[in-house]
Amino acid sequence: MTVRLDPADAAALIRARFPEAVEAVDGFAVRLATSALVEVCQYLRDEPSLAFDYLVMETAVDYIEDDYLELVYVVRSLQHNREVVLKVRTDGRDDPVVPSLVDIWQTAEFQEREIYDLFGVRFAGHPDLRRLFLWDEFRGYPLRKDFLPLAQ
Amino acid sequence: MALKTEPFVVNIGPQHPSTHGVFRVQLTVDGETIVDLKPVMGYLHRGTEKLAEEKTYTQCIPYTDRMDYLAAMSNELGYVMAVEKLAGIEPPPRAKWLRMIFAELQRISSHLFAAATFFQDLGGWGTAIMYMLGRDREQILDIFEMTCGQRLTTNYMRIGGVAQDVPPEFFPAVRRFLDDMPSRIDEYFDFLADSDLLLTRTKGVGILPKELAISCGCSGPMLRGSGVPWDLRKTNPYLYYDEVDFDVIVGQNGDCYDRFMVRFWEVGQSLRIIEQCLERLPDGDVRHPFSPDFVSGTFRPPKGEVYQAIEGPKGELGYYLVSDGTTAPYRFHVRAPSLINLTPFREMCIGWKVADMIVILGSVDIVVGEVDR
Amino acid sequence: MDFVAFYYQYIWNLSSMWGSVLAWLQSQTGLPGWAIYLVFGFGGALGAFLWVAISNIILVFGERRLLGRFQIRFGPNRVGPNGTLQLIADALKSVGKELVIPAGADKPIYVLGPIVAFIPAMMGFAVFTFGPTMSPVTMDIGVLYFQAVTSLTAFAAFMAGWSSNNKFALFGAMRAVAQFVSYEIPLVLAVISVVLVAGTMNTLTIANQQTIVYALVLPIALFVFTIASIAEANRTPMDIVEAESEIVAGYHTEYGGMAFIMFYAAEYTHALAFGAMLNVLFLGGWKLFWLDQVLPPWLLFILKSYFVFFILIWMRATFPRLRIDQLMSLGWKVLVPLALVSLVLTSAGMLVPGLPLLAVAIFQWVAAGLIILAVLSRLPRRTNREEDMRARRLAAQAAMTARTAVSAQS
Repeated sequence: MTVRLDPADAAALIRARFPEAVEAVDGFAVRLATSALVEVCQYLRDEPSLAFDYLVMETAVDYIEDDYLELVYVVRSLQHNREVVLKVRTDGRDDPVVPSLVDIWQTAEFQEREIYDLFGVRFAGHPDLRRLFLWDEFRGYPLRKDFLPLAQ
Repeated sequence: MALKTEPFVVNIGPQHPSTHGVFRVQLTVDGETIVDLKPVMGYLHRGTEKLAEEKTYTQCIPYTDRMDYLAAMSNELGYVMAVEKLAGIEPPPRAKWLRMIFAELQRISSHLFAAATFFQDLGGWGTAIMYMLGRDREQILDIFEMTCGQRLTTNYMRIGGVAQDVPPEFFPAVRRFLDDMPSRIDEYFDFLADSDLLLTRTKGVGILPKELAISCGCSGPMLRGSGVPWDLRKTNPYLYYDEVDFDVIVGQNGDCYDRFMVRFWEVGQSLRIIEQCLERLPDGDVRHPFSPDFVSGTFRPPKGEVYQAIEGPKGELGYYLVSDGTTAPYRFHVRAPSLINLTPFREMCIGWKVADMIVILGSVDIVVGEVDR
Repeated sequence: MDFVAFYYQYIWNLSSMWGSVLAWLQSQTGLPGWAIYLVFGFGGALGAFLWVAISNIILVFGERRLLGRFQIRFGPNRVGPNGTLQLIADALKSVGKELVIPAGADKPIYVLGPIVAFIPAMMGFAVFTFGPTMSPVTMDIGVLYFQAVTSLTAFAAFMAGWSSNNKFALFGAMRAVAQFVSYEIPLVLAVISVVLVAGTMNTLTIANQQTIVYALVLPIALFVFTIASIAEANRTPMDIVEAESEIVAGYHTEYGGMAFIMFYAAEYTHALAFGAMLNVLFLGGWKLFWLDQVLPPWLLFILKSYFVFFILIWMRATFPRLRIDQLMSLGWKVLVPLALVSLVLTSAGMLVPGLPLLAVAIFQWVAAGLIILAVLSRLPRRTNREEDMRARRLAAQAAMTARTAVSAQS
């Protein structure tokens, strides 16, 4: 049975190594500081007692009223059968930039391209950041809440 | 004297007999050998995630059917389980057992489709298709039809149960299918899986190492074919999968043949599960008393977010839902196994021939409706 | 009854009937000999062509129906009685289509492609032996002529593929040239074994000489010839030239309408030609036990050729196709050595005084047996169903137990 690592425990684990990294914890996820994302993920993957070797899913949510986009990472350890959800908030909604996780989990490659395509989040360090589904000339980011389909 | 040669680019697809829909592969080939490859998708992008944000929770169910249209039951199952988790609804036991039966029938159907098209990709000229799809899968589709009136886009699962109870003729039909299948699996093994031509074409081709498979987030038969025994039905049991007896199948080398064989034997395991489900199917209701009607506009799950994954036929099928307390999901995201399984496609293909690319793509078993959503 | 017997004798031997007609024509008109010879030749050619045209219809229809049978479906059964008019309908539809020449195509070569494909396949039929004395042309180098003209198809494939200005067509053309040229060698080497035994290249003599069919005398040559002619005729499992799941339709991707029909007909003609040649070289042409005393020889010849084609259909319904490099290595590393072995054994056998044919047969069968034994002993043990499944399940269980242990520790 997959143990959903309690976000509070996960936050404690991360804080023990990176005191500044955790911004907030709720019942679902641990919210990290954007600057600490890559090193925390690297640590989560490489530390043998954690061994979070599998990025299940990466996506974004547009919280337009609070003026930020939130990226959600579901990370799993196949070895220990444990799961934790990480989150990162972008700084505003105009051309947000988030570090890419492709070097840690290769599966992020297509999913980050999808997020770039549909939400317009740029991923620093992504090797091939192009639109995944829509054509290159497409203007706007369809999954943002202020996207008006007919206005295109 | 060495002749001067240079690589050239070929577009396989978007309309090509073997790309399983409208999927495009940009190949750079040196003669017949692939030196670089770029998958191009989006030709079937219908914006399901955006559409779902405008619909009520129940109205989203038919949209999930149309993602992996070869495994509609599994898609619905994942979605309704996510909503149930969000809303805290527990469906009655009969509904859960029925869901298991249908999920496993759907898995068999999807695996048969994968195996049959795999032979078609190898150049098997339709014989496998006619036997596996025209005979076996048709039986499954008939069962679906008698249950919910639809063969492909079933729209059978409901939040808090299933749409309606199964008709009386359902049980003899499933029984007959369960009785027919084992001998057919033996037949397929002898004539197809064990044939020398198939072994020559698939053994050692398109090897996906274990580490790469994990790093690329592959799931389902892709991951198991590479030797990682990861099956959410075992490792993270949902419904009553912890109460039924079945085995996880893995491959040894991670080549096309192993992925094919994993699917092949999983059909038998699914038959075992259905057998046990039929034995243990209790009487009773199939809908939770608070299960919203199909057109209900009053169902409002509490605020919150949830990630629910099930083991679909193609791999881990996950739904990430964010509710803001209204009748429509605030965010509806699908972790599509077909898309994520394509991540190592480039690494698997480089160095092989054009003909192998088709076989490798066949062994990945994508459905473009799910890749593009 | 004498009347029936008289005409049956003509039906028996079509060429003697044709000869009588011509003799009558000459006696009536007094045409010079060369003109009569010309008419005679044209008659033979027309007969062969009619046979090919009718055969194409029968074979295509038969293949579609038989494939249906092999694949638990019906096949075409709507147009006309039992679907027999389906082919006519398809042909009419194709004739009505416009011949589209793609932009950037090399136009003259593009248009020539289908013609060049069909004619050589057709030309091979000049030397077939429809009966003891029936052959459109009696040629002392019949076998050589057949190999020479049928190998011209490679040109057509390359012309079509190159001129189409399409990358899939180019793939098909390159594969076609590689495949046809490679398989020409084992094919010819296998035929040389037959020529050595028969002592002639005249197809009529070869067929007539076979009191015992050469299939029993030359099993290795028969094997090589069969495989190589499947590759030459471009049939599954060696149809990589037009592998529809990989390169759409190979060298004739861009062709439609009548041009496509020409390629299609050429493929079937080619396959039929190789079937008929196999029949002539190895199965005794028109001979079939006591049946050749009852039925006209040309009918038997046709039926036997169709039987060979039936085996090709069977293979098509059964096998997936090979990859180009596997196909090449089969040709060069298996078939060419085998053909050479057959050649050496046959030559050695022919030197044995007394019963050279028996010696050849013994040599060939012993060698064939040894080769089969060697191959069988070196083949990997076949997978066993239960074993394969059990191994996979056990591996999964072991790994999962190990993981649970790791989880429990941490």
